[in-house]
Amino acid sequence: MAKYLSDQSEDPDQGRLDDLGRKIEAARGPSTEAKPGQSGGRLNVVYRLSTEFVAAVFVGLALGWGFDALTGLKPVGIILFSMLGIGAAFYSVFRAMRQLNAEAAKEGK
Amino acid sequence: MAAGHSPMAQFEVHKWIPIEIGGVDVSFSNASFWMLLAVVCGSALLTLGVKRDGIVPGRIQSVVELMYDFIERQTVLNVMGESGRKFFPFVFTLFIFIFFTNFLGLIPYSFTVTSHIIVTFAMALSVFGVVLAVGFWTHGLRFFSLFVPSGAPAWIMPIIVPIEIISFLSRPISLSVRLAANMLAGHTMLKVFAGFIVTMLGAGGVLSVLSIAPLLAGVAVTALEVLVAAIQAWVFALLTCIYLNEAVHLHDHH
Repeated sequence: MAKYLSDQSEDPDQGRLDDLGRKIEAARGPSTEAKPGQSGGRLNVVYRLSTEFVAAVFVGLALGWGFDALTGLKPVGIILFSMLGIGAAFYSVFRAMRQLNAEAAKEGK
Repeated sequence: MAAGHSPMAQFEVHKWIPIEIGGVDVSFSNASFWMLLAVVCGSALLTLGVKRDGIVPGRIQSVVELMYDFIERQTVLNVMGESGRKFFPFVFTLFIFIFFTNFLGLIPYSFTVTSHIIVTFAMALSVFGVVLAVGFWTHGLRFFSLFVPSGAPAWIMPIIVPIEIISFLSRPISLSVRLAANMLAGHTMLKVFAGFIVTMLGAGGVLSVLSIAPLLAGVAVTALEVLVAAIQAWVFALLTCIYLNEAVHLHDHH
């Protein structure tokens, strides 16, 4: 089967097939299949945002801890960087929300 | 509960063939086996799917074409536009690997590779590495402008730039934790419900009759896990695209 398909230039039906392909493409529209994100719904969003938040806080703490270990200014780094980490956490969640909204808007179009 | 029946026992790594090269433990474990099986199954499905090359697709070919189309058009090109086409093989490989490890993990007595944070973290780090490489490759040092939001006043920069950097560094962690935590939580839940069924049946009397409740819950959770296995593979691929898109286009998309 594959062998015959490879020399498609010989195929007299090629024009009709291309035509059919275009028709199928047009009938299908740009996106007809359901996205798993839609059916997964809320739980998926909760997971996405919560991990975003927790990860940023942890990175802030880790950076502060590393800063203290390197400089010896013990409580300064962990206080400063954990605050920045919490800031980054809110920022990440905010940005993820914006992305989700953009996706939703794209799908609604 | 006996040691072997703990809900967490399913996540233990067992060395099957101990191998050590130069002091590094590279044993072939159950984790290696299920990873290898995922690669074999993924390759087999994709190879079989395109082998016959029919104009009217068969069952396997339909599945393969659906997956391919879903990742190519609905995910990669949807997020990144035409410039995303060269990243499609990377994203599709990640998707297929995660998809198969997740689904193989649903088979009873199997091992869920993606429930281990080190596995997902390695994949997230490779994504992070590609994002960095692509960013510096296309923009050079201008890539650092990713950390400077456009239009923000200058006095806020000392706060916003560290926040941007921390947010950027937290990506591989959130990416890996999300996948591993999902798998870990779901599979633990399954095992706990299954454990309830056995315990309640063994207790006798009314409890034996009531053991239908955890059975129903177990069936429901299994269905949910099938959904989660597919969604999490897709979410990983989608976020990879979003991160790559930022590296390619910097702030253009705002």
